[in-house]
Amino acid sequence: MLDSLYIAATGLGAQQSRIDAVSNNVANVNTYAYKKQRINFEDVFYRPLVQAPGVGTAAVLPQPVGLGVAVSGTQTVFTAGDLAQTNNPLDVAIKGDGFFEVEMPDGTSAYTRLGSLRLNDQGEFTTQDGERLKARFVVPSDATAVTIASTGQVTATVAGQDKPVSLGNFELANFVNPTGLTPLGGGLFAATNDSGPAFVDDPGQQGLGTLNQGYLEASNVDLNSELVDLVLAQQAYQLNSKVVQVSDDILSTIVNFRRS
Amino acid sequence: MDSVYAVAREGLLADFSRLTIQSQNLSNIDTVGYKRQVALTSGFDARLGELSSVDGRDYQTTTVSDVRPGVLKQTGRALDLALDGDGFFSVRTASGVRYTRRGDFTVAAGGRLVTAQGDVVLAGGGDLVLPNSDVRVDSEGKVYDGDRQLGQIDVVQFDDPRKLQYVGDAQFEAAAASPTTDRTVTQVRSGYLEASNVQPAHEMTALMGISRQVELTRGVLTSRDEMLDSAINTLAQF
Repeated sequence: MLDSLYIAATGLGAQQSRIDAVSNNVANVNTYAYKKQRINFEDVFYRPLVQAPGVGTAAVLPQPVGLGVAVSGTQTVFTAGDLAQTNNPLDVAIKGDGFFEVEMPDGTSAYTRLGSLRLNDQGEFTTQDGERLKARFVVPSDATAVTIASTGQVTATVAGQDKPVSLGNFELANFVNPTGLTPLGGGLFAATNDSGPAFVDDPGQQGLGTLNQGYLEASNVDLNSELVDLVLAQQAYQLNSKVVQVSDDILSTIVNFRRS
Repeated sequence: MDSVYAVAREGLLADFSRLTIQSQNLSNIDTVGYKRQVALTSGFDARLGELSSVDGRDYQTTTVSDVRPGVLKQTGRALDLALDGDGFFSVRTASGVRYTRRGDFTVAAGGRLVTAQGDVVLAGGGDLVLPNSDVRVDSEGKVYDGDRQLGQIDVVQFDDPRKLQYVGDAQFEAAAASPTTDRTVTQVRSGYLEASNVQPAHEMTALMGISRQVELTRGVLTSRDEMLDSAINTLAQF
């Protein structure tokens, strides 16, 4: 059968995945700390083996054959989102690079830039879903206000004390290659071999960002470019479906070469 | 075999090769750094002389890469690099040094700058190891961490880029093209990627052409068939 049918099918599949990625990005345009996903394509290209001696002649050169397109992977794009003011004292945005380290229920570590924090019944900082932050300190139950400095120091104003009480330090984690992190959903990411191990330091050190209390990081999805992507994906899908149609026409022409 | 059938078959096989190449181009319309392939079929006169001896062998169509640059699209990611000019990045692969214009680079474990396929991007002939912090790439391909220069990404120009041989994954082998050291012509743009240079108009018109040509071939074959039919059924009645 015609190669073009199979090649066009790979094109249709690739564009379909792209529309999936765009729709996920657009759906998360208002999700705090969401990082857009980018889908990458590569051409599938084979070079046939050199023919065995005696088969064909020197004039027949082995010819490279393209066999369509493949999705080479999805990539999380860690460009910064705008900081949105929320005035909630437990909302902490990271301005610059870095992640909060979170302890998952199974004891492993996950990383998030979503600093929409809460306190649990023991006074520990957790994410909205209840996973504890690695930073182990307890906000006393009689605290009237919690202040988080840009370099991570957490202090609490406690009733009956003039001076704020120092509770501890928020640290940030980062990776040599954040793009290699695996998204776990809910704004959480897991370290992989590609990302390398996390290195942890105080905010503002080693290229890490600083903390902004009362702010959250908005999604980094840019609707304009997503819409352009959507239009391109749709047109590319249509072009590939045209190839299927033309190939079909050609096949039917061939089938009907000999009219009865 | 009747030579009319042989000629028609040669034409059809060439059409199928071209169809494969056109659909390859269209399926890669959004592949970063993809260069459209152009089908080259040998002239009919040249083929005609060989026809009597080529029975049983498929028609051969060769391809060349259209190395004209695609448009640059903005991505805002510092390690997305596009080349403004006709130079190439050099990468070290398992099969030696290859050249590419696909610049969606990333960082491998250990901090080395690599392509999306994981091949090492050459800077000054060697690896470029990035620090943990954000880096900046200027228009000459120099990579900075703050004010400290970490290295300069190699950009290679070729005397005749059309002689490069395409090996897939947006990579080329030098083949008959020779690199020149003059890099002033090509500028590196950080935060941009080069889109595929496939033009739907080119590919769709070619596709229509192929479709019609197959129909024309059918016309030729039908006429020949009718001729043979009358030869057998009319002339033979004498």
